[in-house]
Amino acid sequence: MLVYSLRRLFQAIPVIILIMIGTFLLLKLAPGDTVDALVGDMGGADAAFIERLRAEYGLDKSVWVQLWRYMAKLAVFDLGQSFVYELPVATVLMDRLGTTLLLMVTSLSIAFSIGIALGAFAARRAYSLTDNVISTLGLVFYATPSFFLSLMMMLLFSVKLGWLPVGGIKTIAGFYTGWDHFWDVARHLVMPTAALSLIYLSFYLRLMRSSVIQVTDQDFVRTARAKGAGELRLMTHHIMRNALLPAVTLFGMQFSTLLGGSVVVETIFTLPGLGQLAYQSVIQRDMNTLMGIIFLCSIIVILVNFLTDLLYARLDSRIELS
Amino acid sequence: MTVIDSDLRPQEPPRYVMFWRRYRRNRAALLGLVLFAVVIAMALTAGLVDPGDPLRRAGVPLTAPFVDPANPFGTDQLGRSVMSQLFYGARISLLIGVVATLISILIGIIVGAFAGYFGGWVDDILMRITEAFQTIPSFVLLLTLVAILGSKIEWITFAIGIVSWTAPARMVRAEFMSLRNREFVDAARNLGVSNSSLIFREILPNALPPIIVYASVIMALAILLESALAFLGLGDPNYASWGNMIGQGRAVLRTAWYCSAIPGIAIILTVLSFSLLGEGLNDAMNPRQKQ
Amino acid sequence: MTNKLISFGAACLAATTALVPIETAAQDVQRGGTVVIHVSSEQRTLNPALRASTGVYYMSGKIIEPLIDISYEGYVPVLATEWSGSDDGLTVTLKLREGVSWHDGEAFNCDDVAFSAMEMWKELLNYSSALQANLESVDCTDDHTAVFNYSQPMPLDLFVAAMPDLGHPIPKHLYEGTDYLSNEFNTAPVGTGPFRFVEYERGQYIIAERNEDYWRDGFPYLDRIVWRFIRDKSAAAAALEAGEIHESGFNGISMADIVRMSEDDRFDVGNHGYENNVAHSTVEFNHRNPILADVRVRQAIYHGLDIDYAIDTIMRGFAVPGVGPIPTAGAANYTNDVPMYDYDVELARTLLDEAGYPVGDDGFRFKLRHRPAPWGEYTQLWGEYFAQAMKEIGIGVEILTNDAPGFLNGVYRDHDFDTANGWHQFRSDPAVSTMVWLRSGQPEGTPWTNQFGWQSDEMDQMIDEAASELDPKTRAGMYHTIQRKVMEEAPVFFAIEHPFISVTSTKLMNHHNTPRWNSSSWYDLWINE
Repeated sequence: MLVYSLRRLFQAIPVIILIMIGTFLLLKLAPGDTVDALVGDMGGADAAFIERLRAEYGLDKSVWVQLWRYMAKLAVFDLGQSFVYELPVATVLMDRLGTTLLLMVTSLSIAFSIGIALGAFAARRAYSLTDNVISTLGLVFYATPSFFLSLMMMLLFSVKLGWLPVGGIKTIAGFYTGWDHFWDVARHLVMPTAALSLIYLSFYLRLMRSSVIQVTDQDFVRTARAKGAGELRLMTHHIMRNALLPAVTLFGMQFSTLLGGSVVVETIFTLPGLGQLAYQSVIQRDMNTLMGIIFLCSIIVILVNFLTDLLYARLDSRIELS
Repeated sequence: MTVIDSDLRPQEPPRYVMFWRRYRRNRAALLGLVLFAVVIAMALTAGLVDPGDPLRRAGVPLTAPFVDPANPFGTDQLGRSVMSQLFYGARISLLIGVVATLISILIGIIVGAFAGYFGGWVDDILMRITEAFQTIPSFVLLLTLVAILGSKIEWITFAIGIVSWTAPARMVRAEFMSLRNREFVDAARNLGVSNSSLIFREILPNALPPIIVYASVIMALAILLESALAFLGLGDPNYASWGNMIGQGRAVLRTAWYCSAIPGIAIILTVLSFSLLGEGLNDAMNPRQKQ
Repeated sequence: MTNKLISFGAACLAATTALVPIETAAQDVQRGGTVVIHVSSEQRTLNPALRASTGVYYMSGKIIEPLIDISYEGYVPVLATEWSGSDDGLTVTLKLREGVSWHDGEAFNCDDVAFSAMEMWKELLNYSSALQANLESVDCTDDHTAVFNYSQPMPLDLFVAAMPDLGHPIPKHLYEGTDYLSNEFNTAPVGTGPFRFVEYERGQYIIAERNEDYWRDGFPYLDRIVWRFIRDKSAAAAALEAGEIHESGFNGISMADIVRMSEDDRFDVGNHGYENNVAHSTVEFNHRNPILADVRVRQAIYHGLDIDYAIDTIMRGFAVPGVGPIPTAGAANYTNDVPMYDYDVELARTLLDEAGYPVGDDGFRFKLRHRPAPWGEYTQLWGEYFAQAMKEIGIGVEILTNDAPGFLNGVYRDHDFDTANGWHQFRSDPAVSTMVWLRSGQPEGTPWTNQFGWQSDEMDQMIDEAASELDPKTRAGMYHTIQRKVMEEAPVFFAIEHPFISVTSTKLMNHHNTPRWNSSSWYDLWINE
């Protein structure tokens, strides 16, 4: 088992190299570079100034020289300097990672638990009106563009009712500590978490529902039922156990999807996370930062896959891993 | 007569009838079909509703709905009719949805079929590429592609297709791996059928049903992605699209809610219709699931 | 048209109900409190001697002060107390304020000014490096006298007009011998201003606190200023209404929300305090396209644009039609005695017919590829309006949307466009950043310069002469001629002049009381809670 997982980790190395080279070359295809973006931000500059900046950032060299320099640094885990922040990329990323992980873990956990519960509930009454209403509602949330949902929540809870802060991760110059700090951050996270989890809820709901329907049908469940196993016991011990597998896999695969999805939500709620940073890096052509984000994503996806592999093995001893 | 009748074995209804019977058992899927029909009807009648350019100045800017009979759903900041844009927008949304889906499915089928059919190093390489695409956050990749290609509608559609082919590729690959050693494939192979016709004539048709169901998911996603791009100001302003309407309408969200709410509802219902349609197709194609 | 221009000030006041700056007697002033300011985009540096940008001054202006500032009464001394120029225009002499210290306790003196001028203003500061190109040296005759020596005459009024933006000294002892661009104090600024830098949390906020040792006795009133970054305009509007922020400047929220809040008692809304920061909405032409090189075509296009409609719908009345490259803020250099182009669709069509471009079978005379600048709502809608209006006169327009680097590259380096629209920002004097729009020979890839392939020897000569003319009256006359010429030839349309707009909580007192208030030091700002 461990050997298998380690081999998969090892296999990931060429994938990461492929991703990094591909992204680098792709970004180089984009019109304009970070100096254009910078000069745009400044409201203009003269030609000599522009030349000097380009040399400063090493952007006057050929693409292949730049790529070679970048990959050589990456080999020793040096992500370089951010053009926009004038700081090491690693510092910029670590600053943002906390917020993003906090946002993702809470939204995924909420989506996961509620989705699974509702899915199992709906599946037990498959094709009834209740099932139809639950499934369709889940889909309506999925179908609502996240920016739409976010803006509506903001209008209701911040402007009209004044219950929740408009955005940010904590009260600025609030200087809270201990539990006050915890509650302050929690209040700031309510709306963004809700916006993200409502979208992913329907994934888990649908997945759980069809898995449960499928599993219920299988022999071992019929046998268990014939043996007089109670309905609740059946649900928790047999059906859930098996239906959870695809849900767990999805959880592992969704990290990068979720990061993409958080771009819009982070932008609206001004959360200083990786999604917003990625978007800013694209439009400001901050190559090093964007490459750093993609690198970090690769590492996280691979680690999460590694963990789900292990979890998979625990949940389902029938799976042969060789 | 009665004798002959009783002699005959009860006839199997044609396949499409069976299909329809299974489909309509899911009431939500029926709702999806109705919504889908409405969107198609809007796209088809756009030219009748407004024969002119939907982006022209059609009235006083920011007229509320039900005030001006010429613009029943009101007008936006530049005096463009919300109703005309809504109908023409149905065309664009469907077009983006269908074309992006075709692109992603096509890439998915080619990559998945080759990987699953040949296995070995072909599979290894293709799967590494697929993993690479799955690892990069798809929306970030989409933003990057749009930054490179610009916001022309053709490029937006293409880019959406490019970021969504990995799931179908994996599905096709799985189907191919389970089908490639079945008896009917072996039989054809022994008859000397070439690899390409084995892939496309023999195996592919059997691998298609789950892909068709998944297509509805991609279509839904494509429309949502286009609207998210437009929200960030990266839509194509040469066409009336629902995404653009929301993207611009949100600036007047508080004073002229209808500018963004009307296309917003259109997007929700269309995406919902695709998703429900997908569920119905799933039920109809995998009858085993629902006894 | 002329009437409208004369009543510009009145029109602005009418559009913005509650905009008279509130004068208060000294005893009413409340001390203390925290003011929170909305900022829509983060800056890479907070050093105004390295970046000339209102976005930088908006924050750093409270921490680092310029030599000279501008008030409604004229130029006022800040770190320089007196200024004079020699008759030949080759030297400018400044007397510097005594008894001022940097936030780290070191004394401010002439060395700091000489260092900043020679190392940064002349070498590294955008726009300033062109302005100070002929600066040879800065001599310190004593600790508080700086003499600027030029190789070509420098008009004193140009020098002074440039100083509020392009004249921020920074502390020599923190920069000398370091790599200026990556110096840590670029994002943790040290200045002489009323507030001292405390904390910069990336993507979230910047905090500055009261400078207890400020040279203006008894100032500032506030304890703390917080700049909060909110990129989304709707979110910023919501934060204003929820009372979480006190001011949003530079059109930080959407026009519709600005108009809505102007009817809300809790806010002062208007463009007062931006007189020194006006911009033009432009239409730019690629004269390499032979159709657009024809002056009749450009004039026809001008007649096809309903400027008043665009002002009403897009700018919601907070603007006036442009009359050439120099806006009302140009003071003596501004004139409205220029030819204008009234909105007249029929005339536009006739002119295009006469120019030899009849309507073709597809309903279009010709087609244009148009690039709108992605600077948000304003430029996006103005670009779409341009397309809409052109269709009316039989010109097809395809809009090409790109993000900022893509746009700048497409127009100003690759010249891959027929028409474009964006902003021209006026910076106190036409010689600073305006004439480069018209002067030929601009290096490729320099944004907001003449990359349009338009060349006129007559214009080039007039621009060069005006730049070194020492007599203010003669100089103003030259700029009037240039404006008339630009309106006749219409190589670029400076179509609409609009100041920026602020939404300010009525709790703030003494706000927007100078013509570049958002860039100024806010030493007298207080909050009434």
